Amino acid sequence: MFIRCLLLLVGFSVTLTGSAQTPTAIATLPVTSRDQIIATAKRLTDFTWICGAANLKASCVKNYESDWKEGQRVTGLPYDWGGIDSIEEFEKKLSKGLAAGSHSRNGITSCTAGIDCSGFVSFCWGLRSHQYSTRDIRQIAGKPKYNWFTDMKPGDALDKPGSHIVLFAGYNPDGTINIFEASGSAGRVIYHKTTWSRLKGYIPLQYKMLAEDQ
Amino acid sequence: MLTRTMLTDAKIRHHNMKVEKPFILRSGRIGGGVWSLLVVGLLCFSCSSRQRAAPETLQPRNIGMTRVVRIPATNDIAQSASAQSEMGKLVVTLGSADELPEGPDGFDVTANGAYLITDPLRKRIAVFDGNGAYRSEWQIGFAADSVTILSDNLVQVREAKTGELHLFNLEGKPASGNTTTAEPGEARLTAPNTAIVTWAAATGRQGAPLEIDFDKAGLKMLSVQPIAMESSGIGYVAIESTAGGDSVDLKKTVRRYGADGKVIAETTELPLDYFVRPTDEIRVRKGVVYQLMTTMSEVRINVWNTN
Repeated sequence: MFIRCLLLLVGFSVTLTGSAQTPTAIATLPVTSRDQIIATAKRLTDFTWICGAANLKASCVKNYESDWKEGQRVTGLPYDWGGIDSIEEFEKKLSKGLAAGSHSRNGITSCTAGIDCSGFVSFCWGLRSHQYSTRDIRQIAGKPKYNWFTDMKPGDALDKPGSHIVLFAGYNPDGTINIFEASGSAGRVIYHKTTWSRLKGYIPLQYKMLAEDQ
Repeated sequence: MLTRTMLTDAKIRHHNMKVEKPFILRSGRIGGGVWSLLVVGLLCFSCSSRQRAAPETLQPRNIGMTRVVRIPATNDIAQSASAQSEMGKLVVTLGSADELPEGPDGFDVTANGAYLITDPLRKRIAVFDGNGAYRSEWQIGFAADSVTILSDNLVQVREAKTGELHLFNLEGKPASGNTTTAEPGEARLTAPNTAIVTWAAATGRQGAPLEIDFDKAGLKMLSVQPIAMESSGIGYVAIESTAGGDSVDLKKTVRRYGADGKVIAETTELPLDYFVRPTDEIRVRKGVVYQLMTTMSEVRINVWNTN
């Protein structure tokens, strides 16, 4: 009996260790504050750039169709599926003639620049490489225990694994919320008001390395 | 409000007492005489509660979905761009991990019941009649995510990639006039399950706030959105509510309020399993509520007639 219990205990410990993010990996995550998260999100939303003729073409993508027009002045870092470019990296790539933005229908690309939804939330949380998708971002963010319809704080996220993730910015007096997101249909990072019905099935997440919690 | 809370509390107490009754009887701690008195007391209390509650419990007329207009969609962007036979179909992308599907996300209904629907992947507005039959298209040259009829012959279309607003007439020709981002009204949650809606000046009902009182067992009101105000003073408000859950889970209905501020009718729950997230989710024309729902294979317009 004692041996059976011991085996069960060992098995349980192994399961726990296997499923959770290791303490070392957590420790390497950047610490950031809610103010910093929102400031970063605003910077990527308000960033203005001009699309050059070279940025309309993606040499590595067959049948690439740009979201933009030559000489167009755009506000918001472009949506780029699989991307996590900072403003500086994006500008550098733009000047090298890479295409501004791409979609999942273009596949994973090396000749386009911008940021996607999980890249955007990761970047706002201080990460600089695209390690987490909407499916596994829960490794670095926990599901809060509070009532998310009333108690979320700016910098938290709403995630639908395998689909999309947005950054929560605040509640409105009418009960709707404001969010930042890298939106494929808008082609860029945007800030807007939204109803809850557009976020049905999403799961609230709170970044694990918030300065406020350290 | 105070009376309402007191009544609700009384009902809960009443309910609890009824639940506890068998225990009291089994325990035999209360004699038959006392028990009879208690029953009589309960009956009186129940009657008086019902009399007092009568005006408060007047429920709005419940309106079931009247019909669904179905418009076919295709997932093949390349084919849809070239084939004439595909003009009557709208284009929906399937999306993928970390990118939402794209497709028709904006719509409005004309005075004669035709639908104007954004078709962003083909950079056009497609026009369908009230039965969903294809009529024409406006080649606007940009991806639009919202379309709003401002007046008899002025339509505002929003460019998805820039947020820029463009004006067209009902034939789809560029028009001049004033664009607007004004909402029909402003709502403010005032307490759990109550809210105030103030209609915008343009609706002709400014200064006559509408009080929203939400009283549904097990549900908490989340948000209130003013949808439309008719010239007769009849207003339409969408209400989101929740019973909680492991993820964001909610219900949504549209209520019709009379000019006197009383709720007249309420739609059944709107289906919310959107494949493409709508920008223009709900429209109201002449007492009829329309909801845009784009699925993988078709665009549905769900209709509730509140007249």
